[in-house]
Amino acid sequence: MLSFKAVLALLAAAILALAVGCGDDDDDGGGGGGDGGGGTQELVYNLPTPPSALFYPALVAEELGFFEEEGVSPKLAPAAEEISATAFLSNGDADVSFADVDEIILARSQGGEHTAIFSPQHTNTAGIVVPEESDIQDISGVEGTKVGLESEESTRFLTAMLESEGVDPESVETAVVGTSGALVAKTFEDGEIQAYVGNASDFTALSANNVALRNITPDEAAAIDGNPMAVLPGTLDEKREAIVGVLRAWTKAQHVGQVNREVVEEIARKKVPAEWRNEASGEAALDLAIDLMKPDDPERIGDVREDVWNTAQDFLVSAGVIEEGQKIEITEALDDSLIEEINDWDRAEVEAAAEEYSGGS
Amino acid sequence: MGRRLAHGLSPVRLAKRLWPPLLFLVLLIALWEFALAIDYVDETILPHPKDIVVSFYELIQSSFVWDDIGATLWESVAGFALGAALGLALAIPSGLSPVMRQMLNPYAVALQVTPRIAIAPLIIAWAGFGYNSKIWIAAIIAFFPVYVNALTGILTVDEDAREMFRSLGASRWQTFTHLMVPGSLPVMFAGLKTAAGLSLVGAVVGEFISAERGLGVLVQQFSSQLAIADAFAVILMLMFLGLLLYGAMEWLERTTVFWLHDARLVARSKRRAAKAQKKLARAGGVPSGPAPTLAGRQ
Repeated sequence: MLSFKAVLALLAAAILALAVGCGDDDDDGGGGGGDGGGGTQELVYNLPTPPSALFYPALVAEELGFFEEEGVSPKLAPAAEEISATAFLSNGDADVSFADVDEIILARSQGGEHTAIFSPQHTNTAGIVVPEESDIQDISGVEGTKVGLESEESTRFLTAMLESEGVDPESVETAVVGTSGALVAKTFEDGEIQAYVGNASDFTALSANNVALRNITPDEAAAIDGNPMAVLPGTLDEKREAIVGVLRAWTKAQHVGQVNREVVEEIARKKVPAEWRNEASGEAALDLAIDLMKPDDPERIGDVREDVWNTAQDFLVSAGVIEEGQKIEITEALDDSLIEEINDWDRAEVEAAAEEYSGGS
Repeated sequence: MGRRLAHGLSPVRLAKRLWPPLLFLVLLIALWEFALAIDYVDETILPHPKDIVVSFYELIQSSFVWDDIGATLWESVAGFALGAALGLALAIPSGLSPVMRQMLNPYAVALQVTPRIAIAPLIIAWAGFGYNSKIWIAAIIAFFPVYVNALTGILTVDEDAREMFRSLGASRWQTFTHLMVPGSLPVMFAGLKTAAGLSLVGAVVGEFISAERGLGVLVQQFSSQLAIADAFAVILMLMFLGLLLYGAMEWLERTTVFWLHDARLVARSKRRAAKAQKKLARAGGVPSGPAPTLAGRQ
């Protein structure tokens, strides 16, 4: 018979084993990557949302078999804005990450090696809006008012926009009101805030539900890329083939959105039905996503644009997020060596595949 | 007997038990509708109760919501199991050894007073994006009530009973299994019931920060799309999940700590007596008759 102490020790050991067993995340997550089953290459990519029409290429590439065609098996690792997208690369939880331009610049200014290799959205997803009937005509008009923020993180974007127009940020009061469309609409209606800094998807959801808004984002800020893809040089070397495969599939799917909205809607309705519970919001979100992903040059989908990044860096300096002396060499933060390769596929073939899906389903 | 429900309540007694909460619900809905009718609350913030019911019905009819329910339920149950196991594993040695108690108590309390929402993003960065991070957050939240209640249960075992075990020469193992465990179970179950609800909170907090699916994800999606009735319907689902988890623990408590519930004790005694009588009857020596029961206790 086991002694009393032995039983207790066994009990403790069993619990610890259970706890340790939970430590590894085998089902998803983890930047392990490598060669998955059936010869496909795995790649963990981080997005700021769960599967969503806002990032429709991921849905379309999967549904139309583009990932399979490229021999890759990407795994989504969604994380809200509370966690820095670049941190997931540093700690190895993701191989590539759709980060913000400022996150990448900040990471590099602090000694990181994060590099932008792909930029699917050639328009800023963040911005500032006022009610349609507001007297405020541009960003300088928010001086002396109260501005609602999507999250505390939006403060630096607001500060940069104000600084760029010569408005003292101290003259503007701020309040974090979150992303709930209902709450933002109510705070506007009650006059608690006069402007709102948030995401384009929040603006469209509000507009689609009869909350008329006017975008007053300065042109310079509006031109900054939304969600470029960042990677660490070591990972790029090690998993270049998988990254190229995923991005080729992504650009094919992104192209489908530009030429065949109906197919994308069909797929989005199937893959993320929850987003279509409110039809108006679903339609508006998809239109926005397609619009945001309209490339400057259709033959170079996802190109990284140096001038835009320089503007973004000046914004960060003017907002005091980084010092003048901490500015990074933008050319070193960008790597466009994959752009040609990931765009090297037959447009007509992809369009035919989309047509076929539409006809067959 | 047929007119009595499975758990022994007659329809009349059931109705008597149900009318107070139902009356409160009716009053609440009336107040809610009144607030909407006089525009005290905007419909974009608080939808009509009937819209929530319709949304709830439509969602449970849809195929996608069940994946989300399954994800949240799994995270909650696994988190609860892990948190409870850790709580018990640390409470038992702490209850038996003052040194262990002194060693662990400050950290258990420190963990409890730390706002878990603040460490949730770190846990996700540490445990990854999958289910495990949500399970860990749920486990950390569920841990403390189990630990502290189990410890209290062990420490408050009746001294006279302990003395009796000692005088009868019981070993430490016998004292533990026959006195401490049964003696601490009622308090321990109070902690388990609290932890069951808290684990659901932990799972949803984790889903708010990083998840592909789950009811927390749905609440956020519906809320940002101004599908407010749907968001409330999902909150209703979360409430039912919480009740389900609590009910499961309540059932387990009633089954395990049967001596605290007279009706169960009587039923158990009757079953035992009937079994004994059958055995004796099969042996052929004892006249059949009414089995002795503890019914008099009622």
